[in-house]
Parts: sequence; structure tokens; C-alpha cells
Amino acid sequence: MSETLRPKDARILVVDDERVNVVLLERILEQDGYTNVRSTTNSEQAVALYDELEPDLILLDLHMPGLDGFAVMERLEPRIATDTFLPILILTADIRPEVKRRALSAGAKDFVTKPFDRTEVLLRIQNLLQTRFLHLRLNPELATEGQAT
Amino acid sequence: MWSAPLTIYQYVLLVYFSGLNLLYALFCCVGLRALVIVFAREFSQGSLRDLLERDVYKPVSILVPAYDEEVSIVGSVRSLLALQFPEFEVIVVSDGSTDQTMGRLIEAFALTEQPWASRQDLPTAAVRRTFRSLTHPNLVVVDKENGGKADALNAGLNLARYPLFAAVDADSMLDAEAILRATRLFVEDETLVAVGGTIRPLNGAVVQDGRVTELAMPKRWLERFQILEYARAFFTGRAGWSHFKSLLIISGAFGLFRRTAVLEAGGFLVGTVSEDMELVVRLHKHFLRKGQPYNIRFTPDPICWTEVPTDLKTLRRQRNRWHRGLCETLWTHRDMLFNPRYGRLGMVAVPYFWFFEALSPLVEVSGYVIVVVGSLTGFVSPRFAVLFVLLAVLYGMLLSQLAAGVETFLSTRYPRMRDRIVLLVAAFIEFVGYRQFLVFERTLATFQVPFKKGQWGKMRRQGATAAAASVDGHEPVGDPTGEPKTPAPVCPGQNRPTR
Amino acid sequence: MWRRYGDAIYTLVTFAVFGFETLALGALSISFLLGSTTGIASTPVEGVLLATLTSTASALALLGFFLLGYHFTSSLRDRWHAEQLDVWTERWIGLALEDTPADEIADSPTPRRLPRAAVDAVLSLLEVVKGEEGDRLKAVLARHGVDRLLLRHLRSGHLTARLDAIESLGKARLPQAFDALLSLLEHPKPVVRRMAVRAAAGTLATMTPEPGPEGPGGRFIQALKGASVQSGVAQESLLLLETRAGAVLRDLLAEPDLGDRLRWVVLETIGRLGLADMTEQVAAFTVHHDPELRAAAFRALHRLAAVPEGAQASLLDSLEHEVDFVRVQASHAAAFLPAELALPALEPRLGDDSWWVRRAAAASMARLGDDGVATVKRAAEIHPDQAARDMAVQILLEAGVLDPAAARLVKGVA
Repeated sequence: MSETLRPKDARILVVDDERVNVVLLERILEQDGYTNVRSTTNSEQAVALYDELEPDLILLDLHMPGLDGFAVMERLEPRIATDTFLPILILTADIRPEVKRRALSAGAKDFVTKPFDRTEVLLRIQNLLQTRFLHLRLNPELATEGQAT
Repeated sequence: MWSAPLTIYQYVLLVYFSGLNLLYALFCCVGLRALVIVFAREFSQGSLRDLLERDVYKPVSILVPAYDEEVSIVGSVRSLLALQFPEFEVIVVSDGSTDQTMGRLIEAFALTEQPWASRQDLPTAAVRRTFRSLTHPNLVVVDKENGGKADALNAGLNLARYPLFAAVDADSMLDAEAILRATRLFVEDETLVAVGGTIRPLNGAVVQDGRVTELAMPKRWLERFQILEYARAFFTGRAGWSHFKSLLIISGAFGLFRRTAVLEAGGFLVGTVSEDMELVVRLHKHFLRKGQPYNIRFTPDPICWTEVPTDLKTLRRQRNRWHRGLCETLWTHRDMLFNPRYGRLGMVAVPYFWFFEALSPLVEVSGYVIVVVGSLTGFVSPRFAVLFVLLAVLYGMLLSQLAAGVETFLSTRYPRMRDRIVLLVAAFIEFVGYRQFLVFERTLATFQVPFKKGQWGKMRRQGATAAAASVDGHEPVGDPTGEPKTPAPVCPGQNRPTR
Repeated sequence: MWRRYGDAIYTLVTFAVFGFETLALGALSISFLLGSTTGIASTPVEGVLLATLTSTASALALLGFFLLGYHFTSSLRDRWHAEQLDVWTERWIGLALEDTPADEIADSPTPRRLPRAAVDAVLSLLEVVKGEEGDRLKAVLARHGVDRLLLRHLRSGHLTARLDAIESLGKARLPQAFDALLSLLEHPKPVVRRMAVRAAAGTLATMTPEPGPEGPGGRFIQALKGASVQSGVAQESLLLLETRAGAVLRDLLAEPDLGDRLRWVVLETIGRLGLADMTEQVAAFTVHHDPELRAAAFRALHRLAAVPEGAQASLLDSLEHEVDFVRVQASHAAAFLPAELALPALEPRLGDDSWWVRRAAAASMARLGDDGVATVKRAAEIHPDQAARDMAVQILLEAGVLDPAAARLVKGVA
């Protein structure tokens, strides 16, 4: 069951208020072979989409109107079971050290600053997903339903 | 015997109103180009986001003076706390409220009393207790002895710890992004001392999560007229004055000030009806006397939404108060009139406000009287009188149209074509009754100035939890014709006086 | 926020209308004056009045139709633009992600003028993506002559065209526009200077670094020195330098005749960006004679959360500086001194005249470990100055050491 988990099957959720960013990321991921990508420009829907999709990775923008990235992470926190490695990759133009600190302590696992480089983004995503799947393999009880093929 | 003086007077009237209207027209053009065009490019969405992400803004203390606001205070404070502004504090000052204002606040925000080491930069009526909220660390509530709105603001200033402060009305609904743009103005210009923003009527708007998502024309003509009035006042009047560095009025519903500058000038003046205008005039005076470069600006950005009165009685009281405030302030600072020491302000702006704002209701009323009397006594041919009045009306409508036109350039404008036509029609109807009604009220107010000094406080808040509804977003309040399924237009204006 | 088109026509219409009305009213006033010598109800005056009335009514109608027309066309245009933006965004993303090298795109034949939506789409994509994909998009701009067009607008006399060009170049970050933007730092209009310096900084962030005064960083510094921009604006632009900020700030500090104002800006920016490797250079300013620079240095050290040994003496000294804001910033920075040095120096500051100094001192003391908290507690109880005791209690409350009930007990209030 867990051996057949392929990173390219991973479910990815993209949350960014700018439509351009969302479309771009979707295309980049699509071109690289990821087939299971969902996205939204409405941060309010992020939590609902999380519940529906149960993603393996979340690409999250920090500065959004309404619910910002921090608020979304805050809302997701109770939903993520302890010991689960759910990578959240923050995309932001903000380079301030205290923002990074705050995001990391709120649950983000990695950063990509905008404007970003495609190769770099894909590499980071790949690394995070590999870690995630390794984690799942070691803790099969944490794998959620949709992950078994 | 009467013929000569009457003729002269009619001539004066003609020149008076032509001059007034031409000035407004000039302001309209100037306002549009100088402020709006440049502003739109400099403060575009992208640039704002860039700079927000780099911490380029200034934190703001929001001062909320409150008196007997138990009905709406919790909702208002909640919507203020929900502002998407990176760093700010909300200081609510209950000015000796006799109702449950404090009680409701304590309950809603888990307030806990704390002894406070505060500065006493400004003298105020005694502060009884100070509270901090356990749930919202940036909320401070002060309970003090009654002293008036200005006194409450001063007490708030004593506690404010950020370099900028905003004095707002309890029922103002603020736009966080607009505030961000306004604080950027302070970052860019170190001599900037105060910024006034555009206030727009909230009536008829659809509000979701404390933000206006869509505008729609309210049903009552009274509200529609006020929409026009606000457009005229802000997009033509203030934009123009600001361009010529002679802005004398910053609305009490929202004003953003630099704390140190206001403290230097002595804080708000207690005992006056319109402490906001008085402060601005005093700021001008202070810095002009000091000879220090300073700036007071207006931003065409819609920063604040407020509900305008929906019934005649409240409207009358509001306009009466405004006019009295204006006259009081002008009288207090009468030494500025035609005083070259105060430059453009003393020679142009202040005289304008004396003759074209404070005294204009009298002039207008006298115009009506003369026309009526004249045509009745056969002194003036009735045809002439009618044509004359018609000209005045048409001219005024031209001005309203211009203002409505500026509003069309906004992204958040009344989107429906139908509403646009309604606005144009409102420009017509306004002059057949509404305007005259207000002119009479303001004339009355001019005579009441010596008698009704500095009254604030006993405003009754009727109507439901309107502000709370606007925070929750989807409940139609007040207007029974709203549809419950979709986000309904919030028309919570139930006799709630605003300023 | 505000629509950027139609304002020119609107102003023109307004001027026309009111110009005409001025003439009409002028005529009316004159004829009235003349007519008054012969009697008010004289026919010529009425005639002029009627004419004025007619002209005003026509002006009203003209304006009304213009407004309705504008409203209608602008909603259509906005919708169209949004649709086109989506279409072009998809197209450009496709181009950016495929493997064509950038110079091939730039050199391919038959360039044609791009519509507004297409250019907007490229620019918003350039804000998001860099590297190879970014280069391909920049090549698109080059191929369709957009960069040349923008540079031309940059030099145009029209304010709005110029501002639009600066804004677009700020997004596009084209190296070929860098020098043109720098030259605008001497423009008489402040808004042009402001937007230009921001755009130049953004462009510099993506240019390949070349050392020395002739490199882009060096040119930027020289232009900044000569430009009259407010400190806030200079600071914003430095913050927009992203990864280049460190190098530029270092070079700026090393400039001999930089001027105190810009030095102040540099210190502030170092603090905000958290450039810990510049702590020593910052510390050098703690002995500066200008109180503003001294205070800025302490503030930066506070943000960097470090006070190097060499600056310790000057910090302790500055705690007794005559200018209050120097004392405030020194008190804040003292939180990063070793406790045994800081506490004895901060305690007397609890009784300082300035409220802000008292607060900074108490706050710093509370951060200096258990010893610090104990000292503050002691001060809350036995300090001779009432204001000092109040501040100590306040700080303990905020630090969570005391709860409100305990605080009231300490203060002796019910």
C-alpha cells in the first residue's frame, strides 16, 4: 500500500489571492508531472478545501486580504494530527527575518521568496514531498484513506 | 426708494453664487487631476503590497470616544479590531457613560482592570478605571468622568503609544488598505501632520466581513441626496483645498494625525462642538506661527464608511450641529480672517469659509425672500424671478453632476447603470426642497450659535444591533425588503446620528 | 482604485463647460448691471438670462450624457480587459515554461505592438517569476518593443504617461532602464522622484552585481546621494533591494560624504533587515555626536539583538545622555548587555523624567533574566519615585509576571 505512493501523485493545494500566481503555479506543477493540484484565490475557502482534499503539501501566500497566511495556518493547526508531517511551503516577497520566524513557528516548513525561480520551487516541493512520503511510510497508520492506490 | 439697494443686492447675489460655483468647478478639475490621477498611480495595489511586505507603514492608535453607546459599541469595536492592519491599537474612551456601555464592553472582550502608568500629556477629566482585554491584547478601554468628546479624545491620546493616531466615530467603518495608504503618506512626508480621508455613505452598501463588497443605491431619496452631498464635499471641495494647501476641515468620522504634532498644538479643545475642525485650524495656526514647514492633506481614498441619517429629524440635528461647529470654530479663530500672517489660509481659505460657508445660508435665504417678495410686489417680474431661480438651480445641479462624475472613476462605484441615472436625477430633485430645507436649518443654526455651546453627548441610539450585523455580514437589518438568501444590502440606518 | 483612463477627456469637458458658463455668467452680470440703470425687468437682461439658462441646461445635458456614456463604456472596457488579461496570462505562461531560450524569443522576426492587457499580463508575471522563465518574459518585452516604448514614455512630458512608465518598469525590472530611472531622481516633481527611486531599487535587485563605483550599485548610491527624497522614501527603496541590500548598505556606510540623513536611513534599514554581520559598523555610530544617529545606532542594535563589546561603554554612557530619545534607545538596547553590567545602569533610569525612558528601562530590565525581574519587582515595592513604581508594576503586568489582582495589591489600590 504505502510502497505505491508516488510523489507525483501527491495532492497539492495552492492558496494565493493573486490569480496570476495560482495559474502559474498550477502550470508549473502540471508540466512537472503533478496531476492532483487544487487551488483557490479565496483564503476563506482554504480550510474547506483542506478538509475536502487532504493535501500532502500546501503552497501558501502570506499576505492576502481577509484571512492572511498566518490566519490560515492557525485554522489548519487543529486539523493536522500531531506527528503528521504536513509541509506548508510559504510563498512571499517578505524577506524580513521576524516574519520568517513567525511563519516557521506557525507551522510553515519552508520558504520561497517571490519572484521565484521555477527550478528552485520544484526542487523544494520535491524535497518536502519526499520527506512527507517517507514519514507516511514509516507511520502507515497516519496515511489517510485516499492515499492508498 | 428701494430700487437701488435692491438692485445692488441682487447683483451681489448673482456674483456671490457665480463666484461660489466657479470656485467649486475649479476645485473639481484640480482635485481630479492633481490628486486622483497621481494618487492612482503611486498607490497602486502592487506597490502597496510590496511596501507592506517590507514593513513600510506606521502603526496607528485608533481612538474611539463613546458616550452611551450600549447598543452598538460592541459591534463597532469588534469590526475595528478585525481591521487587516499590521500593527495598531484600539483605545475606547467611555466618557462617563450612564448606560451599559462599559458593562457590555467588559463582557464582550474579557476586560480586566489594570492600574495604568500613564502619561499626562494633556489635562482631562479624571480617569476612573483603565482596562485591558484578555482576548485582544491591542484593545484598551478607559472609563472616565464625563468631559465631552474632545476631552475623551485627549484622554485617549494620553494612552496612545504609536506615532500616529486616528480619531474615529464609534460607528465609522474603516477600510484597512486605505488607512495603510494614508500612513504611507506620513512615511513619505515627514512634515505631514494630519490627513483627512474621504467619507462615503454606507447606506445601501453590501458589507461582508467588515468590508464593502458592492455598492447599491439606497431606497430613500433622503439618503440619495446625501450621497451626492458627500461626493461634492469630498471629491470637489476638500480635494481642491488640499491641493492649494489650505485644508481646514478633516472629518470627525476619520482623521489621521501625527501624535507629537497634535500634542505640541495642545490636543483637542474641550467644550467645542466640532473639535475636529477646531484642531485642524489650530494646527495650521501653530505651525504657521512657529514658521515650521508642515503639511495637512486630504486623500481622495475612501477610507471611512458611515451611515447617514435616514429621517429628517436626525438629519436636521446633524446639520445644525455641523453648522454651529463651523461658526464656533471660525469665531474662535477670527483673528485669522484676512490676516496676511497666515498666508493663503488667512487671505483665502478662512474668508471663504466665513462668507461662502458660514454666511451662505443667510445669503441664500435672503435671495429667496427677495425673489418672492419682489415678484409679489411687482418689483421684479415674476418671469424674471422664476428664470433666476431656475438658473441657480441648474447651476447647482451642474456642480452635483461634476461630483457624481468624479465618483464614476472609482473602482468601488455604484455599478448599476440604473443607479447612475438615479444619481443624476437626484441632482435635479435635490434642489427642489431638500436643499432649501437644509438651508433653513443652517440659517437657524447660525442664530443658535451663541446659545447652544458645545453640546455632545445625549445622542440616542435607536435601532437594532446594526453594527454587529455588518460584522457578521449577511443579515439584513432595518430595511425589511432585503433578501435573506444572498448578502443583503445592509441598511441599518435607524435614526443613528453620525458625524 | 481609480480608473486611469478618461480623466483627460473629463477634465477637458469640465473646462469647456465651465469656461463657457463663466462667459455666460459674465455676460449676464454685465447686462444686469447695465440693465439696472434702466430698470430691472428690462427685456435685454431677460434675454441674456434666457440665453444663460439655455447654455447651462445644455451643459448639464452634455455632462450628463458624457457621464452615462463613460460609465457604460468603462464597465465594458473593464470587463474586456479582465478577460483579455486572463487569455494573455495563459499564453505567456505557456511561453515562459517551454524550453525556447530567451535570446531566440528576442530575435524572432515580425514584432507587433502588444495590446495593453498583454503588457499588463507580462508585467504581473514578472512580479512573480524570475530566472529562466523571467528572462523569457523579458525577452518578450524586448521583442515587441515594449521596453523601448516605456523608455520613451519615461522621457515624455506627460506626467501620467511618465508615471505609468515608471510603474511598469518597476515591475519589469529591465536592466536597460536602470540609468534612465536614476536620472529621474533629479526631477522637479516629488512624485516622480519617489516612484523612480523605488523602481530603480527594484531593478537593481535583479541586476548582476559589479563592484566599484561604476557598477550598478555604485551608480545607485551616487544618484541617491544627490537626490532630494525624504528619509522614508529612501528607506523604502533600500528595503526593495532584497538580496542586494547588504552589499549596497555596506558601500553606503563606507561613503565618505554621505550626509547624516542618509546615514540615519542606512542604520534604520540595517536594523529592519536584521543584517547581523554589520553589527560592528553600526556600533561605531554609538559614539557619534549627532543624537539622531546615535539613537538610530542603538535602535538598530536593539533590532539586531546584539551589543558588541566595543560599544558597551558608549551605551552605558548614553544612558545618561542629555537628549531623551538617545536615553530611550540606549535603554532598549541595554537588554542585550550582560545582566551584571546592565542592571545597575538601568535602575536609576526608572526614575528618569521621561515616561518613555522609564518604560524602556523597565522593559529591558524585565528581559534580563531572573535577576532583572527581581530588580523590577523590588523597584515596584520600594522605589522612592511613585512614577517609577507605577512603571515597574505596568511592565511586570505586561510581562505576565504579575496578574491584575496581584498588581493592584502591589500598587495598594482596591
